[in-house]
Amino acid sequence: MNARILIIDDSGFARRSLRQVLEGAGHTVEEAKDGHEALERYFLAKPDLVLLDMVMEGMNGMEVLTKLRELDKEARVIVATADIQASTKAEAQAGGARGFITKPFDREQVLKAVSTVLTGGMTWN
Amino acid sequence: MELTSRHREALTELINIGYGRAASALSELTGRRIILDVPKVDVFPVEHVGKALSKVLRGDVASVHQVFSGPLAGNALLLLDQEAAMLLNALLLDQPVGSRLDAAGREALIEVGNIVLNACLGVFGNLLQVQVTFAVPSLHLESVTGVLGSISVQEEELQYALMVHTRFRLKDSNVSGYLVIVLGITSFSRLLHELDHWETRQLSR
Amino acid sequence: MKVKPLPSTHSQELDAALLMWTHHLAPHGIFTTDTELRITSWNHWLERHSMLRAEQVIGQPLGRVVPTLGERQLERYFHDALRGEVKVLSSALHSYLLPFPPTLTESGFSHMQQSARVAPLMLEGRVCGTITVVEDVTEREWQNRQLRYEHERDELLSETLGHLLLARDPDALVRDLFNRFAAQLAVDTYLHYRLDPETERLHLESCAGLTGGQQAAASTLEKGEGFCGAAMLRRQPAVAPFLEKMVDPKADFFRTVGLEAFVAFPLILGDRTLGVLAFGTRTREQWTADELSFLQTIARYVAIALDRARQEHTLRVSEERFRAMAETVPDIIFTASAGGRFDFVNQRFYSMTNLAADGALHFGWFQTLHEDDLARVRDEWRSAVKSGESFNSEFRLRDTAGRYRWFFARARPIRGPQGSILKWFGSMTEVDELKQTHLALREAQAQLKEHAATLEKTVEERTTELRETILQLESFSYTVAHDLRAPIRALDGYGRMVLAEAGNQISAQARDGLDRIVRAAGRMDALTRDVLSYTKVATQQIELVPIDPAPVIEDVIVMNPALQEPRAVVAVVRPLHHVIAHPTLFSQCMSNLLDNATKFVPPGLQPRVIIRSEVVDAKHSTPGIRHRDLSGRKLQLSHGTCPRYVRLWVEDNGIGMDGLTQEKVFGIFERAREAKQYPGTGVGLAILAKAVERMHGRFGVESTLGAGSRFWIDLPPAP
Repeated sequence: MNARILIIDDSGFARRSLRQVLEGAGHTVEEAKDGHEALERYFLAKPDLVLLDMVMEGMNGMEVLTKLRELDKEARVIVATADIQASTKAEAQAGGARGFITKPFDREQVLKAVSTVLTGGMTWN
Repeated sequence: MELTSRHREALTELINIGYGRAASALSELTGRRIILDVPKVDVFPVEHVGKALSKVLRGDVASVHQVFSGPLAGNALLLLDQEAAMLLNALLLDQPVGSRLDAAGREALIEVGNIVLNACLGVFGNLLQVQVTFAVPSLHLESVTGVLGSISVQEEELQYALMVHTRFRLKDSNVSGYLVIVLGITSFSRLLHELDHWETRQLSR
Repeated sequence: MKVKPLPSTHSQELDAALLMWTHHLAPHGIFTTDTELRITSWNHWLERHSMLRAEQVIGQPLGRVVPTLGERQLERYFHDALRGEVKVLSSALHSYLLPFPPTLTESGFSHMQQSARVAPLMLEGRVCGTITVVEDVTEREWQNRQLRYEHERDELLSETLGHLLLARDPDALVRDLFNRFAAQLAVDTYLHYRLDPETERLHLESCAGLTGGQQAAASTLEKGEGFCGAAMLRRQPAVAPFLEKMVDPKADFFRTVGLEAFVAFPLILGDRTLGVLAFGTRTREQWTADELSFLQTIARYVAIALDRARQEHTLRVSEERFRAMAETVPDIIFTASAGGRFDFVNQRFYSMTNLAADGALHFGWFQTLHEDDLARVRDEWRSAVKSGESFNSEFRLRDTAGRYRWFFARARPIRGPQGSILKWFGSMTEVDELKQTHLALREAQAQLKEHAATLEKTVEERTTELRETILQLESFSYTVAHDLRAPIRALDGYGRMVLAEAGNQISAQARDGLDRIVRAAGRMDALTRDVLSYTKVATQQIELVPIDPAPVIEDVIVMNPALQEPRAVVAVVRPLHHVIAHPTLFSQCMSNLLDNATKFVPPGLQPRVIIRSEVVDAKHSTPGIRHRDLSGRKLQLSHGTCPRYVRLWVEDNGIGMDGLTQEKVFGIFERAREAKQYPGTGVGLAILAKAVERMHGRFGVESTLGAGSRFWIDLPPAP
């Protein structure tokens, strides 16, 4: 399946590597480097799925998650972060995210999570 | 063995004194104001401390390990997760936070751990009026389970672990880690016994 | 070090070998002291680096052999060790323990960098001295420093660029920037020129490292003048190392400033040249490639940032003015980014709605929209943002009391010099009252239309029914005319015939019976005739003309002996007001009224009837009785359009009626209970009612049981 995916991460490196993986699997990728840009992009052209980093300067991941869900109750968000604390995972889940993948990423993990959430499931491993 | 609240308070106070010394030594060394926050102390049977630590420390941790012997014998560790370790180094050495713990960084950590562990056990020794003898500290980067596994205890008696939440404050930042002191029940009871005495001694002054 | 007790099979040879190794081969410095801190051993490594032989130092106090230990307060570590502690001295925190010359000259360290450990020396459980191990980590430290330096430069660059792009004040931009990296790169001078595109002169905007006089001298450059002018013309950096030795006169000025190397970069944005950014250093003669690359990158980004900052500065000044104004205006004022994200909403929004502070920002304000408006407004905003067309929308916002109020929102984009949208500026005005009125009006209009439609429909139905009724009536009357009356006449005729022919041959009872038959037939005929009459009145076309009632009444009296003396007295009070009516109908009315008046009198009493007229005001007089039609349904009074009527009274001295009867008496076939003993079909007054109605009049009666009745009819007055 070919989906439109929005990557939100302030690390250019993370965005580039995710882009490679996702485009390689046939998806269309859009990037935003902070919460503000992310919300704008989401509003103007709603993607099918969002990959959201938790730790960012300015608006942190939880804020962005909250505002995305405010903007669209049905938003599909996978939190993709280096922060592996259980409390972060719980917070993300409570905030309405549908999945949680941890850095460093591997291709399998990312693609599997993406396809699970796109088909309506959740992935918390 | 459960800590009574009196014991816990006394123990906290004791370690706090040790931390005060450690903080001052670190301040002197680095030339900047460092504070070690009032510690939060818990006691676990050594088999359970692993679980407690895993809850608060994620992934691989940097652990400075120092064996001590004499009338008071056991293992002392300072555990910091990788991020905390690198942040602490960066703050102490006035360098940007690195992406990995290099040799110099590891060494600096050992020194810091050394200072903190020595200070802590030092006050224990003073209280018990015994001489505590230390082995050379070592640094390992491994999971909590790995760390606890490496402190193989030969003793027959029950072992208890003091788990002390330790927070370093400097340069508007703070870094948290855990001090873990593993003692046999005999040493531990002596410690508590002396704590009682210490308190009464304090009160009678 | 805690040395485990060696196994008892340990031999002296092994001891000796270990000692040998420690002293001669160990790759680190190892020395021991006694409890007085006098040196008890000093290995070969230490000899090599300290240039002190073991014999020279053994037995000496450590503090004397290494005097710096005392100065640097490191002796306490040894004391701690004597107390049983193991001390670690990292190179990062101490640099070195023993002051030895650096092993790597290019490293730039003043001393060999060392990592050391000081531990108690134990014998049979007692501390008998200290042992110290010293490791040379210079190479490691140097490599680390190189890496760090590179890393720092990268960090510096990205941080600098980051700041550049966020820079707000174009004037301070370059100066702030310079202060960030100047020290690190050992650059002590910079000049920032702005190009005046018309004169092609360069004007000095800001600088550092120049005296007032030098600044003044460099303040303006003609086209192509100096290194900076050259850089600007060629749109290429002008690098000038070895200024000291340079023959080129361009170097003169900078030599006087004291610079040894200089470089000027043109600030280029696309095909525009904005100015020149130049750097100078007094500490070296030439630039490294790294440094030039760094500075070039800086210059490139400065160009971008300057341009942006200038735009934003203008924007911000007006923004600030705007915001100040925004707070004083009663409307809700907002601004949004080019991507449609709200980044400012004035206080009025928060005081009006129940959102938490800042809750309206980004797309949070959608939460306050009425759910029926939400999807539409989002689409409208989205398409405005995408197309750049101004935004106009009406919607409801929820206030603090949970009530929804109508707002009209308008937003326009502000564009930059390239035409791209920089920001949206908008306002929301409350139009609730207006809107409510508008809505109420629309609602009322709708209702009215519906009502009118219903009315039309009703009228249509009624008209249809009426026509049907009329048709029924007509056919009825036709039937009556042809079918009913014939058998009735037959009954009547044959009855009479039998009476005449065989009256005296049949019994009295039989004769009586036949009489009754004839009489009944007669009554039926009369009734049929009256119904026909009623039908005719109800359906015939009539034309209304002015008439004088008096002669019509006279005629009626003359035609009917029952109305004349001695049987009855009918008095007409003249003059009677003229009316608009139909002569025949009117005659019929008066005829019926007089019949009634003279018929229902107590036996033995001579009926006396008075007829008079007066003018009554339509509003202030009795409206009369509502007539029922054949089907029993009450029809609305369609008249009442006359402001005044002529009321003709027919007053009698008959038996009178009670209230209930008054109501019913005009109904067809209705007869008062009291009247049942009197002959009559009960249709008479119904005919009257219908006739008066058709003449657009009114009718009624006043009566008291046992005290006579006063019937009246109102007719439009003749002018």
